[in-house]
Amino acid sequence: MEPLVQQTERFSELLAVSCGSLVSTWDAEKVRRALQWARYLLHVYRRFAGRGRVREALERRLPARGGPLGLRSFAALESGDARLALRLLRNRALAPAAARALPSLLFPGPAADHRDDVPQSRLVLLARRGSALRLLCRLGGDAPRSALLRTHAELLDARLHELGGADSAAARKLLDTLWTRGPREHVLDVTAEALLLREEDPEPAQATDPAGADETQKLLRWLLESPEVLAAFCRHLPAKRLASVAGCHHALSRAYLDLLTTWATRLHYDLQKGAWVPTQMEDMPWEELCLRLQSLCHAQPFLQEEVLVTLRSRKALDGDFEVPGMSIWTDLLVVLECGIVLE
Amino acid sequence: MAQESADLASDCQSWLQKLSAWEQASSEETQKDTCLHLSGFQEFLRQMYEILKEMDSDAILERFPTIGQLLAKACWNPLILAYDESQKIVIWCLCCLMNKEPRTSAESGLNSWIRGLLSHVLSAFRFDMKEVCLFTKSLGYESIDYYPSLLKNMVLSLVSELRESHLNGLSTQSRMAPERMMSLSEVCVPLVTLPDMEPLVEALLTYHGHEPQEVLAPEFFEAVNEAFLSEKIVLPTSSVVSLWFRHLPSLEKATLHLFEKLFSSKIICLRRMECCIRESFLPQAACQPAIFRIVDEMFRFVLLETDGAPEVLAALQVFTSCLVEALKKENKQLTFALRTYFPYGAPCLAAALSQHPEAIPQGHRLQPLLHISQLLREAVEDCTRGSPRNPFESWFLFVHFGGWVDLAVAELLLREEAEPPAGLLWLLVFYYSPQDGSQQREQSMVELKVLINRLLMLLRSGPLSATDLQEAAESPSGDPRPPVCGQLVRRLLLSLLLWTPEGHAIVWEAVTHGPTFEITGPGCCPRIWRSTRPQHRPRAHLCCTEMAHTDAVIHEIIGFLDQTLYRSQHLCVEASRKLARDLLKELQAQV
Repeated sequence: MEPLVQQTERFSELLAVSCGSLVSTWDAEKVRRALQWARYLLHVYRRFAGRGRVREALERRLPARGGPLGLRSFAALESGDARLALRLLRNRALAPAAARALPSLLFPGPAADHRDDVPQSRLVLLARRGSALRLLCRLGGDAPRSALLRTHAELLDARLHELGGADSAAARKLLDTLWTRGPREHVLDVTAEALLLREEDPEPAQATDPAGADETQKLLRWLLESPEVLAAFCRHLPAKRLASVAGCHHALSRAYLDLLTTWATRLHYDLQKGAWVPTQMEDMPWEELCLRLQSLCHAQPFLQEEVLVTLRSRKALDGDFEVPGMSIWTDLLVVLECGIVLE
Repeated sequence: MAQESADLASDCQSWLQKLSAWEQASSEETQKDTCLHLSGFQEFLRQMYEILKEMDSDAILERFPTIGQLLAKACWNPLILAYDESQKIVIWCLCCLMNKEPRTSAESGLNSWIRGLLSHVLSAFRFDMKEVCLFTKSLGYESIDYYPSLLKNMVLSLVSELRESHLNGLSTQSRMAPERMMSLSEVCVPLVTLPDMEPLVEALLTYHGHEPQEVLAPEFFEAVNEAFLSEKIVLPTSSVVSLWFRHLPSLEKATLHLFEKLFSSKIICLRRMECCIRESFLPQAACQPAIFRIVDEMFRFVLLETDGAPEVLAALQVFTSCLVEALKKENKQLTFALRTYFPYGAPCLAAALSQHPEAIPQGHRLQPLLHISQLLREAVEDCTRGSPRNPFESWFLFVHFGGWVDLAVAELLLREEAEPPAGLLWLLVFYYSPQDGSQQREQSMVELKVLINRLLMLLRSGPLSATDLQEAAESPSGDPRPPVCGQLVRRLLLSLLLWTPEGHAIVWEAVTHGPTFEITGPGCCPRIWRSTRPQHRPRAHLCCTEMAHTDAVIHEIIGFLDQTLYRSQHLCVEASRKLARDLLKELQAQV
């Protein structure tokens, strides 16, 4: 076990170096041995991918060595040789002799088409997939955006998984970093997509996967414990989308409803206009508030019940006025009930 | 090599011009034109690589000065990089161009440029939004990490869009407009062999919109069909059937592809034929009457062109058997359904023929045979019901179901009645000489009756010998043009040898005794659908003709034995089957 971990750690360091200037001292033989090393670890991956204990041990120690440029996960071993190849091809510091030998080491030709010990097939497939993506994105429409969000959500989920179940601090740190670096709107969109991943998964077995639930819980906890992020999340996402996410996570739906009620209290009734208006420019307007509450009601029956109960209790606290303009809760209830009747 | 190289140099220049044209215009027309040439360009690249791999960098640049430009333009064309194996061959060509021992800065620059192109090819896709790249970078991922899942999700998104369009098809506003469907199918043309694309290809093939006209590009159907026939992709049956139903040229190509497989081998093996036919998916597709009509029409055409070649007849019968089996799997009412598939035959005739001969118990087989014979005779010869139909139509319908002929031969040889029924005689004569007029056919029936009676008398008169059979089969009158078809005579003799205990004793002697099956000599079998003039050959060439004829007869015997093993389980006992297997093995070794 320990030698295996050391092998993996040293390859991770090698991978990190492959981006830098130290490769100026590499010769062709070193490149060949590096690729052989990657191939060996590919076999390691295939052998131990299904064994939880070995995999966990490797995953715990990988991020510590090599830094951000090294191997980030056990799964990355599967593409170690392709990753190394790409980095060396791009690295202008690679020694001339090694640089001359690199293409033929990577692409020996037709005889190597079905050989697994050279990265040719995997690299060619990478090239083809990249071109396919480029062609499909030309179509426009919703598909590219939708696919991107789902992919980033899957990547985020995988990263949270790699951080382990116990280390919530590391997960929080990662998520805070993402939020800080931005783009924030994209982070929010990906977060929503990630929270919906398992609910959309057609395989029921995964829905009850406790390990899978951990990632979702980490993400949800971070969101709920970050007021700034939560407010942006509830404000930025489209109403229908947000209602879908809230429908899958009860804690989030309660937080969302709390925010909506808080924002509602910032509206005041303009007697001249005969309408509820924001106190400040950045406050949520009346129309959007109604739309979001309606979306919540339509998402799930229990959400509708919660919304109505919340609004009615607020109305009662306000004195149970029935006249428009006296209590925003009364007016909101009228809108929701009219919507229900119309529907 | 020199000439080939010169041609490639010219091709290189030609392709360079075309690539430049594609590069300058990125319109839909350009994309279509590119897709039309993808296959040809890939073949050119393959030929180029075969030359380049034997040369060093300096020699390459001297002989093909523009190769660098051509490869660079290919590297920047996503249609080429996405197509089949083109990206791989481009990469191999670039590797050939590397200077192994650069001496000048220009040569080093060339190597650096090549590595840059390789790097570009491997990172051909990037989202335009830089902030999106920032997200993946923050997570610590590179393109190699998310290309597979991004492509998978892109495909899933498009499939979902298609499915939503399908589900909402009842509304006046479809989710995916026909124009978008067309564009999507066009984009898929170079991508159909990429495994990730399979769900989208299947979704497109099985999409049923409500537009009156086909909304998918014909190039898409052609690309999928080509990939499927060359076994580069695997598709479920429903997708294949939908493909052929929506794009008939693909169905025709698939049928021709099957014919090439079936008829490329000299040796007829019905088991192998059956495997080919099943694997082709054509019987399953032919459950659609419209598809069946086309496949059947192609069989008809080949039969006419080959004058009823035995292997074509055999293939048609195996295909029909597979079709009937496929129809049963679909729980279709067979009797009623077959009328839809064979509209040119009398409905009751199609129904009668569709019965399985093997399902009829022994002792009750004569009546359905006579019934079929009567129906055919009425269709072919009876003038009282209007003008008789073209005999070919009835014959073509009849030969779809070859089991009946086996049954007829068995009934004639194994019967206990004194006289062979006229209906059976008619049936066999019609099968082997369908173009004969009724008068000629009557005469053939008389001769056949005499022959059968002689054979049966011989069978009952004591031990058989090959010489006895030969003498019995020859016409006593010594007529050089006997009316009975030689194929039919040989079939009767072989059946007699295989199916009777008396025949078992002498079958080896008969097969090795050359004259036994050279019953009627050269030119004995007139072409089924063409009149053959008597040919008088110079005496010096007679031996060659006989030799060729002997080979033809051996092949015919092999075909008969194979058919016996394939289909005649209900007609003969195991001893006969073993004998047939041994004979088949022996004769195949001789060929």
